[in-house]
Amino acid sequence: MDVFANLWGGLMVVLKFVPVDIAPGAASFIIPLPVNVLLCLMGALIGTLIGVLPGVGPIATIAMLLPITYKLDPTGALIMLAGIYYGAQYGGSTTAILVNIPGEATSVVTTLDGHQMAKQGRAGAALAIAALGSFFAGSVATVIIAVLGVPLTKLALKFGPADYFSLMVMGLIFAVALARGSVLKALSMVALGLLLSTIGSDLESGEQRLTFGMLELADGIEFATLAMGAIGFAEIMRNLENPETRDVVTGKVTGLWPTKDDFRQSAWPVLRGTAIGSILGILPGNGAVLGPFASYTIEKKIAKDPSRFGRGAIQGVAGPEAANNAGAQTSFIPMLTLGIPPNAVMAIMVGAMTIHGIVPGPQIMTKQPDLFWGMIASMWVGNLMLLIINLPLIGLWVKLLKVPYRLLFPAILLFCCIGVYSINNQPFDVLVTGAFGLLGYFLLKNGFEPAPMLIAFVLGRLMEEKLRQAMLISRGSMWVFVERPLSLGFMIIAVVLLVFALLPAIRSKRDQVFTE
Amino acid sequence: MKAQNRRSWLAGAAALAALAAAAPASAQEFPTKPITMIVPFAAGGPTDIIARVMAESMSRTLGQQVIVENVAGAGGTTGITRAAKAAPDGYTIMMGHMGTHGAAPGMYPQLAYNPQTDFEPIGLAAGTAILVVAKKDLPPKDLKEFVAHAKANEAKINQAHAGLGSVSHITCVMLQAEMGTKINAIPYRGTGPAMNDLVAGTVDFMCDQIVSVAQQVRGGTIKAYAIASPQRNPALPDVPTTAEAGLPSFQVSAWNAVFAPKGTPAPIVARLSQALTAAVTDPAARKRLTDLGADVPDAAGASPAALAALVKRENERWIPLLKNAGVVAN
Amino acid sequence: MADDSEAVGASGLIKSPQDFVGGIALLAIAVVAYFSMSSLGTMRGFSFGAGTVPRLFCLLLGGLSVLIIVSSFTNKGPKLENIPWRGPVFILASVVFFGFAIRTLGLAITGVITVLLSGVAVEDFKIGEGLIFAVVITAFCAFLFPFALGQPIPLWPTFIR
Repeated sequence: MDVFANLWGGLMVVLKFVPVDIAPGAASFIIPLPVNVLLCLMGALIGTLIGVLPGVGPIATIAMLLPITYKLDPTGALIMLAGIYYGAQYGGSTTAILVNIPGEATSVVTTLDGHQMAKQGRAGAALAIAALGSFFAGSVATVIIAVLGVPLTKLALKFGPADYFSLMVMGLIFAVALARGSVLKALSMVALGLLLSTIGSDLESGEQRLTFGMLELADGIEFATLAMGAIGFAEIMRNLENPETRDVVTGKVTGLWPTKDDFRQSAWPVLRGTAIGSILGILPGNGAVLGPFASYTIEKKIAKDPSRFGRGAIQGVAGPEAANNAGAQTSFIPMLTLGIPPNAVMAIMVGAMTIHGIVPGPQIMTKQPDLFWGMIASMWVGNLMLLIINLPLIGLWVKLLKVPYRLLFPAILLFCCIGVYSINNQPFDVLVTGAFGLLGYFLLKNGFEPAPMLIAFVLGRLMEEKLRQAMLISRGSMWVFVERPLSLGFMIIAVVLLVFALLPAIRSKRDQVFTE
Repeated sequence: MKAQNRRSWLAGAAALAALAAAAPASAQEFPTKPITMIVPFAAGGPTDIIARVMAESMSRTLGQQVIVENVAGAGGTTGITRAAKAAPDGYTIMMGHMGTHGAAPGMYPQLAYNPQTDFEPIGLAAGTAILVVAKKDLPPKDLKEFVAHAKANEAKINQAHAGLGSVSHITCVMLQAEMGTKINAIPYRGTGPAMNDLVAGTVDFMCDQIVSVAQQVRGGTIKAYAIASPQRNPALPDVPTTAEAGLPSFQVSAWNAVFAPKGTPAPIVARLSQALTAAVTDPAARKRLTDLGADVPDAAGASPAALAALVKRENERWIPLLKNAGVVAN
Repeated sequence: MADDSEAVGASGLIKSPQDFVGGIALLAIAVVAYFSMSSLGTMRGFSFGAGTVPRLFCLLLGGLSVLIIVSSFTNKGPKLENIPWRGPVFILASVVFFGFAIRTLGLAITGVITVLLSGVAVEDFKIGEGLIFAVVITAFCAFLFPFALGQPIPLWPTFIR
């Protein structure tokens, strides 16, 4: 097949040996080196590092490393920068599992069951399944990009603002499923997340909303401040309550490797997660964030015993992690085939390409096939490297958890503060994180779970934007949401899901009434 | 990583040196530590790209790293406000642009700086021409037909822009003022999503910088009616100028220029200006930018005096235009 | 977690104190937010005003919190947990200190004090161990962030920079 010939060609670009002068200046010493593989490895390593550090994201790192790439050839530079991006996804899961701190939206889901597993002494299994699931998803997504990239792009273009809005509504219903307790309380957390997402200048008029005169809030609050505060800091405060149980691993550490049972339970979730993540990843406007949430919801709904979710169910790690990595990978599609970046990381990738004199666009595939296919093949190579880097690291990470908590938490706190500060170099963001820590602690103490709030926060801003765009384009007609088939489809799924979510609640309420 | 390490070492060394000498560095020694260039937009956009190419070349001239720091927000005014308040010692400079130093006073009633009096102009770095682009199946074939079409279908068509105060927003306000229309404007968060919906045909037209639209035009996914510059651009030689296409009064370039905070000593300004001039005349940097379709000034065009005059001219042009159009950001 | 606890709430009117307190807090947030938006634009024809969507979200949050409050009178739930203040107070203090000090004192000093201050949050805090650890971890961060990762974080206080 043509595509596989192209992929093979791309692989050759990645594996190419280039004569390099390893001692420039004094004595010339030229040996052939697989430069692109080394760059890929370097990117994956840097990505893993910054992914593990809470707050320091791929955007800041890529921006910072840009000047260093000037001396590289464009293909090599892009292979390295792409490596940073998906390396950061791997690293982010590690922090989420080990210390319950989600650095970005997609790892919020991983904290739910991943950290519970760590607490039960199964951090090794969680990390290994996350790495293996991600590798599988990444490999499949690479092939999907190669084979279906162009047709999928056309699908992505079919998404108008109205369809997008309906997709977001559906996403909010997924968010409710993230909670273990009352549906009503989960819905209220969704509403709070939506409200928080409106903080900042209005998109259209620039009016300040809910900023209470604070200029620092004019561009809204950073997701990382909310996530690290409401989940990370709140968890620390809660852990400190009880000196006996505060160490992360209270029980025994049971092996570093998943059991046969773990593998069996994870296989289908990984497959489903890969499919869901791949599809959502190609949507413009950062559809990839929905992947892990959708995967988690589905796994929970079809599980025989949904009550295990949120208490260390391995399916709740395997599926979302696969979806996350698949989505991260396929989100390259709109950028590579259309030249339109679907999220902020891709926007800076476009910037990086532009600086190297390559402006991604519809012609890149035909005009620069080496770059295009080299980059795609490098994704698979990079995923393989990440697996090789991450599996041996698991032992080290698990050892880290044995550090007494009285020493561990101040270090986590400092890392978080520096990370949050470094997002915008804004001390105010650190204070905001502290405030959300308090809010999260209060919510936790009263049985409100923060995960639905976080997903609603992410979706809220896009939702309002898309709603207003749709209404402006339709000249105020609400019918657009049911006239467009895609939009109608999402709306129907959303309603069905909501009914299913509410049914048990209504039933249990009735039971309670009867028992009284 | 090497360059990073080096500059960090130097930062530490410079701090120690300053401590030991305990005397303010004079202009001859400037710069003795890395310089921060604040870019008031997210990394990856046109202004950021221009700033990074300039910073790289200036670093070589000055013998110290010029580090780009992105401080995005409120149409660039957040970053510029912060930079304006920085110590005027030459170690904090900024990449201002048409919006932050030309149009902002017309849009932000509470703007915390005055573009003409709160800065020491260093010089113009590069400008990018503005194009009028439309979805590929919009009926009009050229700009004249487009203007007629826009007037006839004022209530039906939609214009996209990349958010309040963005280049694509204010230049389209200018285009609409020239055409005498009030077409529905759909705000997006950034050029990417706006371009997505333009390629998909959800919206009808927009104005944006050549860097952002050239590839799509070349790829045939959207069409360009005209370029609002005096000459055609080598990056898109087939696109006529607005003068050729029948709307000569629509002339606009998204210029980007380096400023220092008010009170930066004259010798330091001169040193920075010299480094910027070297950057705009540096063949490698020039080529990098012109390949993207940017217009890079010559040495005279990049002088502080030329920039001061440009800011004054742009203020006189944008402020009344935006006030008349009722574009206000609180 | 709430549903782990078998303890059932207070006798008397309120059957689920946690829901009641949480509901009241959310309602308060919704009310304050709603009234702070009084000056924001409303619908103009088919075009949304700046306040339209936030107001809708406020109403949604307010409505749901009222439902939670109402249900706390009928549904039994766990009682309020006591809050040991030591942890949250010192954690917050250290975070706030970091926020206010980083720009002026630089990472070298701010880092040490932040780690020490948060360390006090546990009862068995030991000053000797804490100090050594604070210096080590700050040195590590100073190496990692401004140096290896090239983040523009001030390392030294402004008066010696």
